[in-house]
Amino acid sequence: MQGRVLIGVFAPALAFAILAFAIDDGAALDATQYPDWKGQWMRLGSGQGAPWDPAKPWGAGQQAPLTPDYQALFEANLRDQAAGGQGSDPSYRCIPTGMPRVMIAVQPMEIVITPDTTYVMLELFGTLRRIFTDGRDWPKDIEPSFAGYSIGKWEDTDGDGRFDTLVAETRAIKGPHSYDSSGIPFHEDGRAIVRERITSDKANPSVLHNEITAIDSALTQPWTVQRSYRRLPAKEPIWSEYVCSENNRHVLIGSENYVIGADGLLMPTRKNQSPPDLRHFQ
Amino acid sequence: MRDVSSIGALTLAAMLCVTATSAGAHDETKYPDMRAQWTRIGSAAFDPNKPGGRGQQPPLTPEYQALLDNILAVRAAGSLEGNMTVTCIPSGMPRAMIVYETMDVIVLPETTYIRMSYMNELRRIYTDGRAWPAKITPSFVGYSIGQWLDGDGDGRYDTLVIETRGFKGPRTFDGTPGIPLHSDNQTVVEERIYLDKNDADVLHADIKVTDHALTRPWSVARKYQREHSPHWSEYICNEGNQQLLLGKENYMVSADGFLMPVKKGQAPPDLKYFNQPK
Repeated sequence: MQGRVLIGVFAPALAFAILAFAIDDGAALDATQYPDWKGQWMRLGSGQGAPWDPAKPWGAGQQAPLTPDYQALFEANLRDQAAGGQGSDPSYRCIPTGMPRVMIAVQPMEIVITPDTTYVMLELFGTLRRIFTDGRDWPKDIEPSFAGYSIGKWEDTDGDGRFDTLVAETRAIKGPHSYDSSGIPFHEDGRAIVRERITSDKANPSVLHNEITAIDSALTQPWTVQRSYRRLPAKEPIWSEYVCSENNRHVLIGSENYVIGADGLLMPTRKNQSPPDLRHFQ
Repeated sequence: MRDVSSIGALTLAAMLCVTATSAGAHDETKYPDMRAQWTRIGSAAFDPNKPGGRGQQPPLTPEYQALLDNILAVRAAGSLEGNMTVTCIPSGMPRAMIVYETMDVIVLPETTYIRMSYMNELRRIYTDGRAWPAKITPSFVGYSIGQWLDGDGDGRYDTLVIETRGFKGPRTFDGTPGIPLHSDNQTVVEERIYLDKNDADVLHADIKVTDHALTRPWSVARKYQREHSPHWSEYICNEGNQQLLLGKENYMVSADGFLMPVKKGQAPPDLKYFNQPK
């Protein structure tokens, strides 16, 4: 483990400043123990509309194992979307998609591994997941959040002395949230549990697999999907700043949705929609 | 306009010869223990050592001083003009370093991540020796290149020196009152981030801003406190945000769901796109 590297750094103003960095190994984070998941990851295999289960069509085609109550809610949401509404998906108002939907990775994703925490940084909504791998127990009280609270454990499944799989469980996920843009709902009790097995592809280290199981009171059985991601080859990937509010034209006033036109004026979203009540203006 | 890179100058001054980690391993003993949750010490004015508003004495050009005077006047009338964060537009740099909520610092050899819970802003400070890209996609947080220095020659890094460019606007130095940066977004922010020599639970950020709205660079010194029992909150600006921007006019949505004026005598919004009763 004695890789010694000479890094030459040229000071911008004066080229003679060449710094010698003698290298030796550290103990705190031995990267050789962990898989190399550095870089920029993008979803693989999602069909049109980025459905939750990439192997099935968006919407009713997902065949979500919903209870009758939640199936009825889902169908009402689909009817609303078909009529031009937003259904039950709050992300149009720049509310984060949350877990587990954020793991569709509609925008790029970065994974930063440290011994006690693995950070999953999602460009979409700037969501940051902290997956604690420090052996902690579940806290007594967890403040619900869209990203949820995640505890993970590294596994060496092939016994080669290196971790290859991160097993994570996420609880305390705040709602409302849905599996994907079709609005497949989670139960309003907020007790969903999401389990993940994130692992490198055996043949291609630039492919990552994530087996995601949702356990939720709105389901008749746990729902497992297989998602995959590919690492983009750029050595210095371009990270964009996703600012949902910047160009978002949707406005919620009371329970009514409106849009802001290009001229800055309020507009209806459906035929014969009433304007907002201006009772507070003189 | 831009100073000679402080990174280069400081690199030379330090004359470093540091034993560091290989590409495969991260020897945390070589880096200062900054990985933590940090909260702001001091006020939320850009210069925490001076009063807010005009008391900040920003060295603005006459043109931008006039803009600030106008912002102060409309603020006094109740408007929030000039402070884009009310409509959930991120603070951007350098204002993000005020740290309204909490700040995560994650140090890895190639990149130091600084993540603000407020507005979910993520700064990636590249310390992998890269050069400035030929083209930078502008962003509110900008594009940051840094370098670790061993200022006291003890064989450990102690200071992260950063330069940030490639900005998007509009941005302000702070929210009270919203001292503006130049609309050309040619800002350059230089920082030195280091732990306090006597108290490792205090982090310093010396911040120097060079901007065409200023007659000279503006330097401030900020500090942060380490949280030993961090509480990780998720700041979702749009969740419950009552501010509404229609064209150039700010309004509010009341708790009972009705549109409200934000200043006395404010005209209601134009509703010409609705079928109004004749």
